[in-house]
Amino acid sequence: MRCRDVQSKLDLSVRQQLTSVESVQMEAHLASCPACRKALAKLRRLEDLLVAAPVPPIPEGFAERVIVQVRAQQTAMALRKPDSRFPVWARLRSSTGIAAALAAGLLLGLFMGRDTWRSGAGGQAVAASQRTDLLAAAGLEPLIERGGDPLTQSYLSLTMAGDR
Amino acid sequence: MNSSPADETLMQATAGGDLAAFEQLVVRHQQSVWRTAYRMLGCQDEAEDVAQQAFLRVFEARDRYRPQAAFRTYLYRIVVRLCLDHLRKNRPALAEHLLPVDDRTSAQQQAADKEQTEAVQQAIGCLPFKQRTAVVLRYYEGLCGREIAEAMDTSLKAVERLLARARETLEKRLGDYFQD
Ligand SMILES: [Zn+2]
Repeated sequence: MRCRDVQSKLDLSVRQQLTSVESVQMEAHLASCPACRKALAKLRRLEDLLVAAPVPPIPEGFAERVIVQVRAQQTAMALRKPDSRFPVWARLRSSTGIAAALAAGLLLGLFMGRDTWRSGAGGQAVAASQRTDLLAAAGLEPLIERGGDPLTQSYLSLTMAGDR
Repeated sequence: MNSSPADETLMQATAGGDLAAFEQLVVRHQQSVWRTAYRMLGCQDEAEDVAQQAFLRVFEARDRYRPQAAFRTYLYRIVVRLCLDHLRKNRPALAEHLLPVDDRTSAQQQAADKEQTEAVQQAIGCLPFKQRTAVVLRYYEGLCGREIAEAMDTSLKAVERLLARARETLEKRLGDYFQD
């Protein structure tokens, strides 16, 4: 093995992904080549430095918020499907209790922002009923139509395209 | 116990309307998605947004998902794309370079560590997007060259070149920490 070959395979060596033959050749070369030994040491040092930098813990309740958003999105989609001649409020009332509860969740999320979901579950239920009253008084339809749209659309419109 | 269902099986169940299966996928992969987004963006709030979007994208694509590549690679690919979109939209001038150091992380560190962590974070942030992606997937996510190539939709050779260039830059920028 020449220095060039050795240095191109140092990373594989660090990760123990060399074949046994390559591994033996590599060891033999390193034993007699200070330059490649230095390159290996630098590679290891870089890895140590990178790995030592911590990542903050994932925000609490992350998975729950994802699921809530998925449910809200599904509800928004379900509400959009039926006959659009009837107002959303009528469709909401005619839909099942579960759908209505999910819609309340969606509205709550839109109204209060995602921080709501960091609070306790019991508090959420109370807040939800209060909010629903408020929303009902204010008229639900505009909120669903205007609020639901960007939420759903922004996720749907995120494009996979784009050069890298 | 080694009886937990494969990602691909859970994705099929999700497509069949099983939200609990999707939840399992989220719980299983949330840490890697979070880590990757945080390393790419350097900001906790932005990383959380992107990580959430990534899972929503997976959910939206549940009917179209075909297990050609490993689910994990597929997921990394989505996260990386979303990070790029996010940077372009929100920090157009900085899309290729520099990301801020998140103070909240730093606050958690001891003073000596803090300086080094900041230096590392800044050095990663200075890498062009593709090099940064390769570094994050190699060093923080432990992907092998072939997997990185798949996640980045490029060739193994290209990944090796990206990593080599990135290492050169990182060694220069972190030169102080190489003296022993
Ligand atoms: Zn040599």
